Amino acid sequence: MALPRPEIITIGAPSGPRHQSFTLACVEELGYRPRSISWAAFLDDPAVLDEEMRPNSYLRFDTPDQDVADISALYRAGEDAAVAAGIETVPAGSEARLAQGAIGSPAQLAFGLIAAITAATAIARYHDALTSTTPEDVALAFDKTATLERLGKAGIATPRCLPPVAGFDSLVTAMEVAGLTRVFVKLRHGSAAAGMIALARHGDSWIAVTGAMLDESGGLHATRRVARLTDRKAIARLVDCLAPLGLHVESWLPKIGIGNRVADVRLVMIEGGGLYPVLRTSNHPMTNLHLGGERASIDLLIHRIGRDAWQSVIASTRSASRCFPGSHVLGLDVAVLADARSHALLEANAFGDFVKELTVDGLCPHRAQVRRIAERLKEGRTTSAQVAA
Amino acid sequence: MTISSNLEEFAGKRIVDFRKSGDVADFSAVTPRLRCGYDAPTPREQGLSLREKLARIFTPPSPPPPEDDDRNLRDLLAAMLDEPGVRSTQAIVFGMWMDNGESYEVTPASTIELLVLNKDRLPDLTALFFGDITVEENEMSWIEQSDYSAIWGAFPRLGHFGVRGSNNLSLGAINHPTLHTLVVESGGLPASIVREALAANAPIRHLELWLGDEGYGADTSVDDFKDLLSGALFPNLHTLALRNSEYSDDLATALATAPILDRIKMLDLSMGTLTDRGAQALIGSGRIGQLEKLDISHHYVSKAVVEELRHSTPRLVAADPQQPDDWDGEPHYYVAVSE
Repeated sequence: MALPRPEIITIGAPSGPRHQSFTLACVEELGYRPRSISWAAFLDDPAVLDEEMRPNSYLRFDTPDQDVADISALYRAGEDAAVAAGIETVPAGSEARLAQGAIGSPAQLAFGLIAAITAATAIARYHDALTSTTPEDVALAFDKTATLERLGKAGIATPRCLPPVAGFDSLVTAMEVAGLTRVFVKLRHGSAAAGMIALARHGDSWIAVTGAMLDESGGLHATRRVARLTDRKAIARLVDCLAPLGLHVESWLPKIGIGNRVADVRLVMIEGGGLYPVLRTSNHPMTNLHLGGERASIDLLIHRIGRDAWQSVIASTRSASRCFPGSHVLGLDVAVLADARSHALLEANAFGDFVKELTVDGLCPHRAQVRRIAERLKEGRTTSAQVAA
Repeated sequence: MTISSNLEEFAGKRIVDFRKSGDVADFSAVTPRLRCGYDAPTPREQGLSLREKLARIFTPPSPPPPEDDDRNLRDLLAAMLDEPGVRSTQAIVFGMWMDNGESYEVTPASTIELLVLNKDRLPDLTALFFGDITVEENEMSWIEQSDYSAIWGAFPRLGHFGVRGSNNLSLGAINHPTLHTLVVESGGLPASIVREALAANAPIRHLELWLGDEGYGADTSVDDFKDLLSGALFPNLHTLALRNSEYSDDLATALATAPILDRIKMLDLSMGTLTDRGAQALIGSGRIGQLEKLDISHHYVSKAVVEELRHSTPRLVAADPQQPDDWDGEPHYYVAVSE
């Protein structure tokens, strides 16, 4: 009997570059498009997922990208959890501003995403369908403090986390207690460097490098222009405005420089389907593309640090992926340090699989992922057939 | 643009970090570097479950967590000086200096002192660099420097001396029979250092000064270079590098009529604020055809004038063109390293 054809259902942004890239990967690998449900449609009526489910379905989750309707729906879904966690929330109706760079409340969005994935996972499990990740893994990956603690427990080198801080004054105290003069202040549930500050202290002098900007009315924006603030008061004001959104503070480990640019590694891991590393370089501590970062071949780094040091990076990322056992794909950020020898895991991204123009052996992470999903569905069918027999 | 990469090579040799005995197998073949590290990332042990703790007893974690290394730069130098074969060291690079993980108010003074005390153990030393420190490690304007006046007498074979950072930097009176390369990298170089450098009584061939930003302590002008430009100093000068300058145009204009221009082979005005004005002065001088290389990288010169320059000199390097910032309607020109 012929197997039913594999059906991939993605819940995520209904359009945009991520959506396009994954759709193209499905067409190239399978010959047909994936089914697609927007977060807004799913949250409006979760039964739409139930109706889409087929015997050989695979449920894949993706981000809302810049889709205003999806972002709004997820923000509403995360409101109660954010209030319960004491996180500042975004009033309903203001979501259009979020797609235009307002920082909003990333924790609220993350909580909404976790709630929605929890609901969708329950439906998938009812249908015995595989899912690309689990609510537990997404919750862990979206919480930078929890991620570093979990990785540390697994014996993986990470930057040191500082205890929670409520604002600039408590940040200063926490830095003094920890004996740190250089830290990264991040939104605990943030993504894409939104609200991120690289902060250094030298006696009474401070420098903050950040893409976050405070407008005259106290609104926080994620800009593409990285600023260097040296006025302690301006830095304090920025930190104090970010703090109600939930902060994560970690030691700022000096990264290696390649070609006079700061470099770090994004490594997309496809469970059972290979590694997709890319070097990210920048003129400032943030290496994100939209903040002026550039992509470069990982070979530049491997050549510099040697095969052994690179193998130990790979070993750490493999250990790290085991901390996310329910995820079929992860985007891990790794800093190789200025000593060109040691490294530290910085972040895990549950939706870190979309890296433009990255291919290994002619395959981009999305295509590799689709290929692996098809294999997995085949394996899954064989196994259940055997069990039934 | 700032300095984001550590040196990979110095004095013609590959750099190898020395942390512990055995790291450098042959001191004559490489350039050892000594530097302190920030807060080595260590896996945390707290918060383990009983099961995990028990598992650790039977299977120790691998690799073992890196040791906390609180040694300061002087400790590292002391350890290196005890190495067999250290006598053949020809160059040393000193990177980040810290005490107990802090760089604030920490200077390399005790390291310089130890180096000088042990001059007889380093008879072949010909090159030194103090301050291979990137912006990921410390802001250039925060690097605490020191007094290097004891170096000149202690190492009579020294040829190349470089420093990065000019806070509390002093070169002292340089009287040296062989020093041919002097480099001071700074985001804001005070006139006192420029005077010390220009007063060097040494066979300087390569003079490199990063002049920097007024907001970070730069207080020189083209007048400070009068004697240099007139040709009264450094008869062997081959490379003149006045980089990272806020007054590159003034320098270029003065150079256009200065006797020194006929004597040098390399002119480096990179990382600065050169515009069409300075570039046209150099072109108009008709004297840059004899240069082997002219570097204006990180410049504000228009494309047309860059082309004119290219036709006036055999080898022009004009990478990293900049656009003036006109946030208040006035053009602002920034140097590459103003920190």
